[in-house]
Amino acid sequence: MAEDHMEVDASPEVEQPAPKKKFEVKKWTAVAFWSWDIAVENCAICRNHIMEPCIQCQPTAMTDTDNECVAAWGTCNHAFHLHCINKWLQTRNACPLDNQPWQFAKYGR
Amino acid sequence: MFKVKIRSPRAFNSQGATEFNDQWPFLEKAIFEIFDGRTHQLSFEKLYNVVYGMVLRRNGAELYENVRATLRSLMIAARTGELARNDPDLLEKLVKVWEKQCESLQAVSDVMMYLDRVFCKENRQLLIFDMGLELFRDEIVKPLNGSVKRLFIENLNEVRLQRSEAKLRLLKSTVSILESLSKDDDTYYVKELEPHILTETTNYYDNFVKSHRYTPSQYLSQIRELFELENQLDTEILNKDTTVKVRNAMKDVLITKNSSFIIDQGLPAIIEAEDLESLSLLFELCEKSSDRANLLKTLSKRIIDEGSAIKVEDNLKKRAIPAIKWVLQVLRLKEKYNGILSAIGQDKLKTASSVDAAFSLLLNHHHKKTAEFLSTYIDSVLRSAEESRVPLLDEAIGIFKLLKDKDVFEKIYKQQLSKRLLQDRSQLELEKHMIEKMKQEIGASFTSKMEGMIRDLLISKGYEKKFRQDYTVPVNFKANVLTTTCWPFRNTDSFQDIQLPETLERLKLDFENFFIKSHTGRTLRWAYHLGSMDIGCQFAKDYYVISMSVYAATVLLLFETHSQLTTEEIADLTCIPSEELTRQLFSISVPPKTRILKKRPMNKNIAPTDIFTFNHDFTAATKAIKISTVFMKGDSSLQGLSSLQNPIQEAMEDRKLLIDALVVRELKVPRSIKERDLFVKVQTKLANKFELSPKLLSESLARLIDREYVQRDSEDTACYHYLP
Repeated sequence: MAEDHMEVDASPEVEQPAPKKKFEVKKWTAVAFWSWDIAVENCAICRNHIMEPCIQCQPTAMTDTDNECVAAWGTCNHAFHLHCINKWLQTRNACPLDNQPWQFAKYGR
Repeated sequence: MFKVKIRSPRAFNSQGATEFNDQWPFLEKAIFEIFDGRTHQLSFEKLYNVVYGMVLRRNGAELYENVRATLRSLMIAARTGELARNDPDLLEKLVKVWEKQCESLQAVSDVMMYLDRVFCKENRQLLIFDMGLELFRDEIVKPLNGSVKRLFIENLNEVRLQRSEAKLRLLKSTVSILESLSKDDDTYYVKELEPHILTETTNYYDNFVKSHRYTPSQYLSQIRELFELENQLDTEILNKDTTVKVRNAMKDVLITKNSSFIIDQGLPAIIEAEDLESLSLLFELCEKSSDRANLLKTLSKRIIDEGSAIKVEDNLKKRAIPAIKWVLQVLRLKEKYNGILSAIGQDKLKTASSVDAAFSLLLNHHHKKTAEFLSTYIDSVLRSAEESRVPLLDEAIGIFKLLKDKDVFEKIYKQQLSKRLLQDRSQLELEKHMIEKMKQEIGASFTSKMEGMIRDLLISKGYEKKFRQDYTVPVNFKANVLTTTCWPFRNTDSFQDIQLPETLERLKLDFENFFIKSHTGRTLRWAYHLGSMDIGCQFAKDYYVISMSVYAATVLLLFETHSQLTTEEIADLTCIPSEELTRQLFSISVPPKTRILKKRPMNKNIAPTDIFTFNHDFTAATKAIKISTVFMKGDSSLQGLSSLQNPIQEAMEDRKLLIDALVVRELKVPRSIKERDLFVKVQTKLANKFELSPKLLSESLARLIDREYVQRDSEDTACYHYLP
C-alpha cells in the first residue's frame, strides 16, 4: 500500500519549541472513520444505510451539509433515520419492525 | 311535340323500326360531318330530336350499336389516314388526332345526350363519350402501342440529355392522353406506359453509369445532379406517383446496385478525406432502408476499425500515461464522428445511435480496460491545473455513457476519488460537477456513495473551524471524519491505534472529545495510513519540510530524544503493526532520495535487529519533499488505495451476488421461468451496471441449484423452478 501526503503549502502555526528541537510538526492531516457505538444496518424504512442520509436527504447530500440527517433509536433498540421514523409515526405510533408502541430512546447526531 | 296516339304495341314497334332505319342515315351523315369539322351546317336541335325520338321508341340499343360502329370506322380511318407506325413524328400526330377526336366526340356526345341519359344509364352502357375513348384506345392506341412507347422513351432520353420545351410538352400531352384512357380498372398509362418508363429508366441510368468512370465523391455529386434533373423533368411530365417510382428505380440502379462502390469503398474514402459535403450527400442519397442500413453498418465498421487501431502504449513506470493517451485518442475519434454526424442532414437520431452503438462496441468489446482507462483519464483531468476542465469532463461523460462495465468503473473511480479528496488534489466544485453528471446519466444509486464522500469532506471542513474555537491547536491540524459505508476502504474496524508523540496524542484526544460532544453515540477510529504529516527538519546542510505518512512521522519523531534505535525498539515505542512498520522504515531509510534515516547494515531488507540513526547528511533538490510509502512486493496485509487489480476482482464478485439476488427475485413471483426470459429480465435490471452474459447467468443458476434455491425442470432443461 502506498500512502501519499499533503503538499506543504500552509504556513504552520508557530510552535514554541523547547530548547532547539530537531523536528517540528508543521501540519497534520488526519483521517478518521466514525461509527455508531451500537451496530447499525440499513434503515428498514428507506433502505439507505443509517450512517448515510435518508432517501429524502440524499439528493442534497452534497450541497446541504448543515442539515444533518440523524438516526433515532427506539426503546425497542431498533434504529431508523429520524426523518423516516417520524413520517411513519404519523400513521401509527408503533415500531415498524416489532409493532411495539414506539418510544424514542435517543437520537444520534 | 308528339301527338299522343294510342296504338297497339306491335304496331308501335314495327313503325319504330322503320322510322329508325329511315332516320339513321341522317344521323350517320351528321356524325361524319362532325368528324370532318363541318358542324356549322348542322342543327343541334334537329339531331337531338331525332335521337330523342329513337330512344323514346325503344330503338336505343340499335342506335348505340350503330353509333359505335360508325365511330369505330372513323377511328380506323383516322389511324390509317394520319398515323403510321414508323413515322418519327407519330407522337405529335397522335396528339393532334387526339385533340380533334376529343372535340368531335364531345360534339357527338352532346347530340346523343338523350341516349346517354336514358338508354345508357338504364342499360348500364358506357356513355357515348367514354365509348368513344375506348374505341380510340382499341383502334388507334393499341395498334400503335409499341411505337408510342418506343418514341416516348426516345424523346424522354433526349430530354434528359438536352432540355427542349417542345418535347416536354409533347411528352406531357402523351402522358395525359394515356391517362385519359382506361384499362383494367386503371388508366392505360399506368398499365402500359409506366412499367415501360420504369424499366427503360433503369436501363438508361445503368448504361449511363457504366459508360463513365468516377471516384466515389465525383460519383455522388454526379448522381445527385441526375436525381435533381430527373426529378425536375418528372414533375413536369409525369404524375407524382410515377415520379416517386422513378426515383426509387433510380435509387435501385444508382445506389443499391453500386453499393459496394459508393458505400464499401466510398464511405471510408470520404471519411478519410473528411469530405463532409459528400458525406451528407451520401446520407441523403441512401434513403432506402436497406441502403441506409448498409451505410450505417459500414460506418460502424469504420469506427471500430479506426478505434481498434489506437494502440495502447507500454509504460511500466507510469500506468496512467497509456490510459490517458488512449482515452484522448478515443475522444478525438468521437469528436471526429460527432462532426460527421452534424454534417448529416436527415435521420440524425438513428445515425447518432448507430455511431454510439459502434463506440459502445469499441469500448466494451475491443478493449478490456476501458473502465480503468476512462477513470484514470478523468482522474488526470481533475488533478490538472488546466483552466477549462469542465468541457473536458463533459466530453469524458460522453464515453462514460457508452461504457458497459459501469460497476468496474465505479469501483476504480471511487478509489481514485477517495485519493483525490483525502490528498486535496482537486477542486471540490469540479468533483461535484462530475458526480452530478454521472447522476444525470445513470441515476442516484450509482453516485450516492460518492456524494457521501464529498459530504464527509465538507462537514469535516466545518469541524476544523469549530475545533480551533474551543481548543488550543498547536499545529495546523485538519481531520477528515469519514463515513465508513461511503468510502472504498475495507476493515475499518481493525485499524490499530499507535503510540503518537505526546503533543499529538493530546491533540488527537482533544479532537475525539470535541467530536463526541457534538455527536453523541459515535466513536472515532483513526486511519493513520490515510493521513499525512508535514515535518520541518534541520539537517546538517539545510532545513527541509518533509511530508510523509503519519506512521513514518511517528518513527522520525522518536529521534528527537533517541540517537539510535533498532527495529524492535521502534516497534515497541510506536506500536505500529510489524508489516506496516517494515514498509515505513524501508521508505525512509532505503531509497536514496528519501533516506532521512541511516540503517545499519545497509541493505534492502529490514531485519528486527537493524539499527537506525538520523541521517544528518541528507540533502535534497527542493525545500519541500514528499516521501511516498513504498509498496512492497508480496505485501497483501492491507487493502490499499492504489492497487487497481482489486477493484476489478471485487466488481466481479459483486456481479455474482447481484445476479444471484436478481435471479431469485425474478423467479420468486412466477415460480418457474425459461432461461431465455430470465436472461432478458436480469439483463435489463443490470443495464446500468454491466452487461450480462449468458455464461454469468448459467453460472449463477448452477450456484443457486447447489444451494437449493432453484431447481431445473426435469423435462425442459431450459426451464427453472423456484424452491420455496
